[in-house]
Amino acid sequence: MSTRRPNIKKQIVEVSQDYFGPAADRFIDRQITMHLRKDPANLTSEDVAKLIDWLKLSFALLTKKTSLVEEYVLRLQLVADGRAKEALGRQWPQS
Amino acid sequence: MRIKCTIGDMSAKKEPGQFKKLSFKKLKLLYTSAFSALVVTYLGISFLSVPSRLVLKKYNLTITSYRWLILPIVILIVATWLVSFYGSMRFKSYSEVIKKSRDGHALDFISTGLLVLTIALPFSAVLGSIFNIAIGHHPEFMPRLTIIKNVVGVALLGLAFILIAKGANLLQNLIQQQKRVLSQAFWVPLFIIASTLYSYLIITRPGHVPLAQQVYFLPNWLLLLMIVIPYLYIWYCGLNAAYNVFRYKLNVRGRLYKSALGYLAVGILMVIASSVVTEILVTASSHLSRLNLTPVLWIIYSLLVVDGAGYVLIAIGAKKLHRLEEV
Repeated sequence: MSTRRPNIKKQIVEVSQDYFGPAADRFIDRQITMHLRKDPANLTSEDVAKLIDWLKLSFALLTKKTSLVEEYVLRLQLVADGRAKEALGRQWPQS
Repeated sequence: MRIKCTIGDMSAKKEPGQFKKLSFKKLKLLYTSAFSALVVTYLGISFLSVPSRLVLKKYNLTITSYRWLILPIVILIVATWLVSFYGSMRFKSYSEVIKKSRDGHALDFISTGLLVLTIALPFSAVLGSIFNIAIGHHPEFMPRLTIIKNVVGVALLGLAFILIAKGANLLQNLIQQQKRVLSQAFWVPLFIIASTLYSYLIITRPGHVPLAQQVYFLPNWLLLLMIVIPYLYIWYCGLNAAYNVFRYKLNVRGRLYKSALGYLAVGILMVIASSVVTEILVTASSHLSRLNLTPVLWIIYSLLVVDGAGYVLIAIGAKKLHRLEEV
């Protein structure tokens, strides 16, 4: 049974804004639509792991800084684990 | 007998997106055609028309040596226009993709302003060249045509800078923190001082300037009303817009976004600054005409290079931002 966490997409966008700014929402929606082939509003917890894989790939195409990619993925995984507060803490970004 | 067509829906409605895509394509084609026509016209007039006898006499040139002399200048000018065209088109293509979003809406105004600025360059040059030819045959038209040329110049620059300023103002609504680039207490008095100096330069034209060196053919009060005040307002809008774009770049979130935006911000500043300086120099042309040819050429070359470099940075920034929307 898939579980919808209404805030999970919002949390992922919030983390992504530290890297993409105003383009974060569009970036996330595009990854969900193109790679997961679903409506961004219907994102579930089960989809998040796959989404993170695609976000990692796409992000790596945009920057050569591997530390930035690793940081982004780490924060997304914290969101996936339900530790959104940690992911959105003031200590980020560190790279 | 009426025959009903049942093979497909002949009156199929187009998707809204299709209409929008077509109109931007059409607009791009129209703009490119107009721009190309202006560039070709300018090249034709520059090399086919007979130069002014006054200019030939002042710099001790023949028609052939004049044409060889202007060749690198014309090539550089046209190259700068082409770079401007590429940079502003690149930016417009990006802003068109994100037009529906808040940042896209703001950036769309800025990109449209830059497009207006880009086409204003060849348009003003062609207009000036045509008027010069007309004046060559009918010197009595000089005051009228000069006034028309100056008013058109103010109008085009005004439209461009006001659009850029509107976009830059809209960007301010997107940022929460307001880190300032420069204190207002610094740049406002600086602008007031610069405006006063500019007005002084305009008003204190040499008393007995030969007809061909006059720039405005207007009494002082009309000059202030039609040229000085509008230009000062336009330059304020433009420089304030560049300042606002920088402030947006400083305050907006997003490491990758900011990095790409930085190119755009610097490029816009260079384009606006070179445009402002060029207009000031045109204003001070009666003072510049006392200089020899070499320093005048160096000044022209420097401004063209700065302008071109600005548009190159705009193109780079737009490309990087566009990449964020493609991946």
